Amino acid sequence: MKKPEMNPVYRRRLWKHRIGIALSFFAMAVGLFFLMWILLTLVVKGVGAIDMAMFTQTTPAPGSEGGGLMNAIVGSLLMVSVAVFISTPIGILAGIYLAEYGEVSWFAKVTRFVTDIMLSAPSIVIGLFVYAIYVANVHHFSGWAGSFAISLIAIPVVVRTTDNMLNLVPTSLREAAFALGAPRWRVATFVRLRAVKAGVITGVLLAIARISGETAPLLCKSSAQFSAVCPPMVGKIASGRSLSMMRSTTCQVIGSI
Amino acid sequence: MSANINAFPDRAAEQKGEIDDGHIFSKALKATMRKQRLQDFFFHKLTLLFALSVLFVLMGIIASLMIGAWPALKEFGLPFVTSIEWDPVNDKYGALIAIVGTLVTSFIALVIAFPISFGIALFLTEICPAWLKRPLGTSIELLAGVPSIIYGMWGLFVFAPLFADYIQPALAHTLGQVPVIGQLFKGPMMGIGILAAGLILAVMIIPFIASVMRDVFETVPPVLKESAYALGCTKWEVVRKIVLPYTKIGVVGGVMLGLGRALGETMAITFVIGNAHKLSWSLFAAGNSIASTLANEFAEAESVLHVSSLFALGLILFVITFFVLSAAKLMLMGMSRKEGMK
Repeated sequence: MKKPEMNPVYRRRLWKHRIGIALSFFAMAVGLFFLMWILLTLVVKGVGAIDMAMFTQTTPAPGSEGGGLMNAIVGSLLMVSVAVFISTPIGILAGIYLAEYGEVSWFAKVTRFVTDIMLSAPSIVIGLFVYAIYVANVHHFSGWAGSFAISLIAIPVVVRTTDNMLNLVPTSLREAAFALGAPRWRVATFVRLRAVKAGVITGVLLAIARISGETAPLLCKSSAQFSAVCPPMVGKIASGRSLSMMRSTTCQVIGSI
Repeated sequence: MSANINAFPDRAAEQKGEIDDGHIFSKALKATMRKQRLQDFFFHKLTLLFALSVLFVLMGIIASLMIGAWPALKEFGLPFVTSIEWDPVNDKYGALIAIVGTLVTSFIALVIAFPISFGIALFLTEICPAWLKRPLGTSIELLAGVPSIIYGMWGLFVFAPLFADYIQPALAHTLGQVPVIGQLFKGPMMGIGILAAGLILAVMIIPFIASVMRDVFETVPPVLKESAYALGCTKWEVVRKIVLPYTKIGVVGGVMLGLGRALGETMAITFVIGNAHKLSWSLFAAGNSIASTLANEFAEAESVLHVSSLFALGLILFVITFFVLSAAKLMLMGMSRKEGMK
């Protein structure tokens, strides 16, 4: 059977459609291509540098052989854990406020807006802020200043995830708790928050993933003379690249589950 | 039967006891309720305090940047923004080069990232089979999770050499020959430079724009799309004439969000932009952005005026990103309100 002759208008529309779809496939391929390229680069160039010495020895003076990155790893872990200890309670409580009392007040609306802005504010500006209020007054760089800076970056992440997660709790669950005579704070913490515990923890993990890869705010203030932090070190020592990659991807994988 | 009848007085007695008990109980109840009301009050104020602290941090950032920037702004005045001089030796500072570098790299990034993100969002919402949606979406989000320093190193060590060897000559031989815009593609082919920075920024913001676009595309009511299909539209026409107009504001909001990211991006840019304080027509030339200037010079700034000028740069950057992000948020909020109304 011969195909009927196609109307030229239809043919033009069909071709437009085909080109559009092909371009869309192409765009997706470009995205995946860059992802694969970056990950492969990290694995291929970094995997050879991983050995026991990297985790157990400190960085030697420039020019000498051997050594590892223990100072950077330990420094990173310390700073990130301090930042998590600071930002988790603040973030969760502020998130509870937004979800629990936030529907009515303009103040909560403003806070939510501001949190969204902070979520993507340039991290180097946050570094400047911590420099201005902390380092300039104490007159020396320190890991504490770095921790404060990255906890400022983590807080908005935790606040927004907590807020979003709490809003997923069905109203009937809360009403049931209220009907049993539970006070509001109990409902908020023991019913509502507990119901979305996993989601809130995901938020904290996301925040960890974000701040452990954070570099810029640390440049201007964490212990510059000890270079005790991982990401800035990575800029100096190429062999560290695999490490930061592994950490960030593992965090990311945990976070996305 | 008789047991039932006998039960009446008992129950009456029970009820009387209940009332008596209730009387006592209500006192206890009142005490409990008072306690709980107090607890609620403290809980409210405690969470309010932490929510307030988030607000205060933002105000603190603006205030501290202004205080830090004040000496430089007083010294140089408005010409600070338009002067191209940046001379730490003679203590003369102007922000124009950094501002232009920031804007140009972000603009290049947007021009490249917008069509690609659109394609990705289109693929994920309309074309992709359902079982592939999640893994592909996750892998694009993974691209957003790569720390910016990794992008920087990858850009400097892997991308820039290839860029200098293959792409830059190709650009110089094609676009470089065109009369007017040819100026943009001339000059030494070092790999690093404003164009390379813009390209890497594009890769970095693609996942942000794509995921916002995907989310807003999914808010389009299926009825609209199905009606268009029923009228004989092709998939491309549905996307182009139904989905895109419906989600216009949201798409612009997503693009602005990506722009906000691109403006504030620091480490990747610092690695590949070349960090040279000069203004050139060529996109191949090394330049500087606000964030890379801050990252490079802040730890080494000695004079008060230098530090203060850097604060002024930070303030400019923050103000620009604040407005861009606010606009993006307001647009996206309008979008979700529309979604709620349908």
